[in-house]
Amino acid sequence: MKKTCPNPAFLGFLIATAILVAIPGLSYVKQRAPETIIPGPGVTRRGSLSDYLPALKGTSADTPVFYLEGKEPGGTVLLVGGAHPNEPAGFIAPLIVVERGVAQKGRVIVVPYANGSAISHTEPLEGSPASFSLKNKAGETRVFRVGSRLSNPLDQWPDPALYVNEKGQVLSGSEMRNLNRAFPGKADGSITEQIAYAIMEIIRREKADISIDFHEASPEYTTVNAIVAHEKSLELAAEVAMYLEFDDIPITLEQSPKNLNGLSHREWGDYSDTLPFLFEAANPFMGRLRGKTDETLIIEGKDPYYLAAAKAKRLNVPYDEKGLPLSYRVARHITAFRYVLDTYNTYYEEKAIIVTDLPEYEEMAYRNLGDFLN
Amino acid sequence: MKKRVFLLAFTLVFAILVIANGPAVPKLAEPVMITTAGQSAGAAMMKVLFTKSNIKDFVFEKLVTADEIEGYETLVIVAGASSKGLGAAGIDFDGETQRVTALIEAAKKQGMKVVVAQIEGAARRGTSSDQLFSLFVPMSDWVIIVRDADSDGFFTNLCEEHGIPLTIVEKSIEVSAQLNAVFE
Repeated sequence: MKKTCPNPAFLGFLIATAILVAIPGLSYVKQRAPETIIPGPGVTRRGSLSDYLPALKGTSADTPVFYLEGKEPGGTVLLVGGAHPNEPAGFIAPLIVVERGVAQKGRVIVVPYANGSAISHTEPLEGSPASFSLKNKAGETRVFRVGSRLSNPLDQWPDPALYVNEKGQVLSGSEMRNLNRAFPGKADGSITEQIAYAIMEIIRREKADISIDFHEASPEYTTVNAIVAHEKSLELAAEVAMYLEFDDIPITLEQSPKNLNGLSHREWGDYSDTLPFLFEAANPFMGRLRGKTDETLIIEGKDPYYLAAAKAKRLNVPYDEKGLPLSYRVARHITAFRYVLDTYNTYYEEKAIIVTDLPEYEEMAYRNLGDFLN
Repeated sequence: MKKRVFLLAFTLVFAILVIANGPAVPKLAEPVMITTAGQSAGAAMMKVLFTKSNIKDFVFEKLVTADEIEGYETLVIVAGASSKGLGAAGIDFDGETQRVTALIEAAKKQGMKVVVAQIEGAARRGTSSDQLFSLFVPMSDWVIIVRDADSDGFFTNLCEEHGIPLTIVEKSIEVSAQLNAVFE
């Protein structure tokens, strides 16, 4: 029998196709691989979001939950990062608490990557880098994924034309994949609503006295460099805002609108006894005016177009040649968190929450952020 | 604790160093009604500042109306427009300006002193907020602001033009000391 050689052109086509499939395929797999978190000495226990809603077990939405438990009993604070994983300071700030913080009294519960589905893909059409890296004190590189504002369509699809959330708020269809529009969530709802429900369950079952949601927003947005507080927590937030202002950290205070449903600062307060806060830091990486969108922009926060906008007085936050680096944005969040605890402890001595070993604002802002990671 | 002692010391120092421009600041009396013009959270900050002052007879009502201020001696209006706040309060900008205008007119009619405050700094400046300041500063007896809110001289000029005493503090936390100084 005569052997036939495959057509070289066809063979070339097969190889090229294999390469073209393999490159995005590997990128896809890499984006789903969770980054290493190195818990510090303060972490006493590690669990999962699925502990609060077993339906999430084995899904891409399941995510680690860290517990820092003090020897002395006190109150409980919940820190939620990564509700929008395209907002890096939103998950790095709670990660620093996990890797550095020690609870002396009371408990800190941390969910650094609240939306495990949204971290598994980048924002479509934004030219966003898939990751950024920081060097720790030992010179080792820590790589962090950059995710999307919305859950991965591979986990939740299709979007409806309009999304009517649990509270009847009507939103555009894609917002159905936005965790911070899905509260209080549904145990048998979409994967995003299930995540929201599980977070509500942490607040309720663990009796979180305080719950903080960490975010970032574009410098031209109206609610930025801000604390948004439910009416229950507004006076504590007012005091925190004054302490931040005293430290020359620009801050505004906003009250959570009662008619803006689905957001953490509204529903956490309405559906539990917790005192909710949402922190918002300004990040040019998030904005419409930005130029080159890369890892450097995430870390250094310097952008010539934002500088021009600032000079034209078109921004809602101070912005100059120093930019708004990740270290500054994270330092703001950590400092605001510390002031929330200080203020809370003044009024609720019997349920005080004391956390030590967190870096001070001056130590961290405009410095190498990796120095504060393990 | 150290921080609080430091803050107290800082506040006392600035109570002495604070700059008071133009006409004399009037003496104020309790009870005090605190409200907002524009529904920003600055009014909540003012409530905290009153709590930390020596003034004990005060009430905070963010939607107080002209017929609810009988018996009060001083009306404190913390001005600053917030779309979130207006939404939360269920009132629009025009409704808010009408409410506060009527409130000040009623306060004046019954001999109350009116204070306008801006304690949220530059972040609470802008077209809508400036519209509120332009409306209500000329109707007031005393204006107290943080320096950051006056980087363009807006308040200095407005108060000079209308002969209103203006007190400028560096940080909002110093307002408590100013209140202690002006309340009899």
